[in-house]
Amino acid sequence: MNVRKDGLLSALLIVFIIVIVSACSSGGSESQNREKEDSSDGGERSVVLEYLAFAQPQEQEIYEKLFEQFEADYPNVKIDATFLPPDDFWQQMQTRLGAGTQPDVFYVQPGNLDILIDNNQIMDITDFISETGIFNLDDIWESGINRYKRDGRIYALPKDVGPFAYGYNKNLFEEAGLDLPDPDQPMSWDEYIEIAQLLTIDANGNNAKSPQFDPNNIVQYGADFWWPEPAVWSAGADWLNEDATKVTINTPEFKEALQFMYDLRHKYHVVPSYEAADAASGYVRWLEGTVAMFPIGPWDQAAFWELDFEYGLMPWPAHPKTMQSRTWLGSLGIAVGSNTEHPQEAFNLVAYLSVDEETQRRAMEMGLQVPNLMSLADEFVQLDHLPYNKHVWIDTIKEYGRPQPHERTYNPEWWDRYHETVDALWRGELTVEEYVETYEPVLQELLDRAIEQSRR
Amino acid sequence: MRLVNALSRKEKWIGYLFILPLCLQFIVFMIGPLIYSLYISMTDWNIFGNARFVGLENYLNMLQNERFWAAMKNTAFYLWGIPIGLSISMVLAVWMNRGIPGISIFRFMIYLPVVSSIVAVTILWQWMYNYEFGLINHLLHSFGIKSINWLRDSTWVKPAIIILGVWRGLGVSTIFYLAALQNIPESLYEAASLEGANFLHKFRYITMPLLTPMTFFLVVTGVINTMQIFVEIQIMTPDGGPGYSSASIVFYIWQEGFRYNALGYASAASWILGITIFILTVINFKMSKRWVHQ
Repeated sequence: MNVRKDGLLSALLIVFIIVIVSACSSGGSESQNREKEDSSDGGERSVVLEYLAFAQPQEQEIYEKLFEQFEADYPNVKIDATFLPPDDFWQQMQTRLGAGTQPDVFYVQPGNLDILIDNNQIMDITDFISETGIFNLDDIWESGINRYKRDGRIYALPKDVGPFAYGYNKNLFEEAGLDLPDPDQPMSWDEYIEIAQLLTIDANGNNAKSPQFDPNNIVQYGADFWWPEPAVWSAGADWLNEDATKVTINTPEFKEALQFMYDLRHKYHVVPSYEAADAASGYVRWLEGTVAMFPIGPWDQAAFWELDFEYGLMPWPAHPKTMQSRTWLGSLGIAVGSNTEHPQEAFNLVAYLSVDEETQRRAMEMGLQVPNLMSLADEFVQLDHLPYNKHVWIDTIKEYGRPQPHERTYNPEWWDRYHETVDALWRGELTVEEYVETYEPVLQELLDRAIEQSRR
Repeated sequence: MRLVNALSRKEKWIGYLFILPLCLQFIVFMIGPLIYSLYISMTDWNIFGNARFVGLENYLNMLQNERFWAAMKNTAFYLWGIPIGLSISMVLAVWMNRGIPGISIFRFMIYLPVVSSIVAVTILWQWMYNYEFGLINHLLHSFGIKSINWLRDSTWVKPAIIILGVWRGLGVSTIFYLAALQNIPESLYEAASLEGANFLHKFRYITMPLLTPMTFFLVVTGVINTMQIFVEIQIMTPDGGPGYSSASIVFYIWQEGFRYNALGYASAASWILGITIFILTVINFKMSKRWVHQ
């Protein structure tokens, strides 16, 4: 018995040692490979740039093609690119930066810009921009480049600007006998509810306006649950005051916006119930063709070309009093690490991906993004692939898209908490009044914490 | 005599030389980071920049933070998984120990979740728990029970995570119990049979007491592992569950450290967790004298 036990123990020990040794050595061999790559090409590929980003699989493919092109244009540079799943990116980035092993070029989310600048992790590229002859800075969307400016200096260039327009499933509109939405004039919330009701259909084929409509058995929804930004901003409200020091959710306008979203679910039943939303996301329902209106960003295009229905864009419906469409304009930046040994090459890569005309043209033709360059906007709108009314995205960038509120604060804890807590309202456990009364002080406390962090 | 002494002293040194690599590894990779994290826990370090010493501020803030306590309470709730899991695996082990044909297939099935990737397994269970399309709600339906929103209902999310944990842990504890069962001398059962004991008597007075050392081991490791539960929660409820009802203490630490860049604060929370685990383990050992068969 004992002998067998000893045998087992030593076998386990050996396995354990092998695992440890192989785990340790795999890290080593990676860096050896990199050195080899450096030297094997001799003088030709003397610069290796490490690029760290995140991407969906189809997006990654497109980027790999762009890198090949870049390497062909800059024969001395080799790009060592790593694409992470989006959710892992920031954590990986933090550990890399904390350990002092910065990549040469990497994505930055605008919300993290302040902390990266304050801790000297990304390079001020203003001088490179003014000295380079490659591109014209004036041609980038102002709303794109402003995201990465602080005190007049530029710290990153936009990888893209992401206007979230509202989309409609053309086939479902036509089946219901409805006119297609006007791409230039937003519907009012009242008109919108009316249309969404006509597009919400139960298992017996009744729409949500019919007296026989069964809200517990819906097979097609007028819309997916709303994002809060278009509703709150169109009502003339906001989460924070001008200088982002006060939480301002307890105002009549803000409450009106929450009430509108609440009613879409609980009163009009035109968006999936809490449970239904949880079972299948709006994105899945949109792909299935069982939701008629849905938010759409430019990066969705390529995936949506495969769908068996046609779709178009429209401005987000507007509060009847303001009649102003508002939405969220996302962006992701590409920055140069402050410790890079090859700042010029790293900058060239950033510029190449951000504003090189050919790159931008290729990215927009591949359905990856709206071009970062104003001069390509017309060409983009004329492209003959879906969606219809692509100019709504351009209008959003030019006119009314805004950054998400948490980008104005040092950390997103208050914003996360807003989303977590407002869930109780969407579940129907609280009234709007109760929600804002209870949670305004809670969010204020977290905002104060973020402000305190920024002072340090 | 002196020669022997000198020899043994020399041998001692060689012995120390052999364990030196391990000691070095322990100092460099365990003690070093441990002391460093204690220091970090008294600073406002954000991982990128310089750390400013703030004394016990992080600890004091934490004790007043309702989220911290919510996460602690949730974690304590997850400990229910241990008695549930151990009772089931003890019964399974006794059953599997009876030499039923084809038992090795069953053993294999029970052990399979242990060697599967926890991420894959969690995503699988996430689908099983799905409100509309999930297998579990389908089963409930066939018994006429209404669907449960397992992962988005604050009452059900913790039980859901416990069920997954029990299922996943069953393999290990059952195998351990099986090993322990095979060490119980057959003669004890034979003697009991001669005295007229039935199956339940034997289980109650022979099997259970003689399994207590193994139960003790499984309780101690179970408490340590459960206190560090994280992956299931982060995947199934990325926001910590409705009303923060599923967040564990490690989830809280991760959120503070890696989402809000408060590494100092997160280190302080880690120390509190470490100390809590230590205290629980000491209590376990102290209590063991009362119920573990020596």
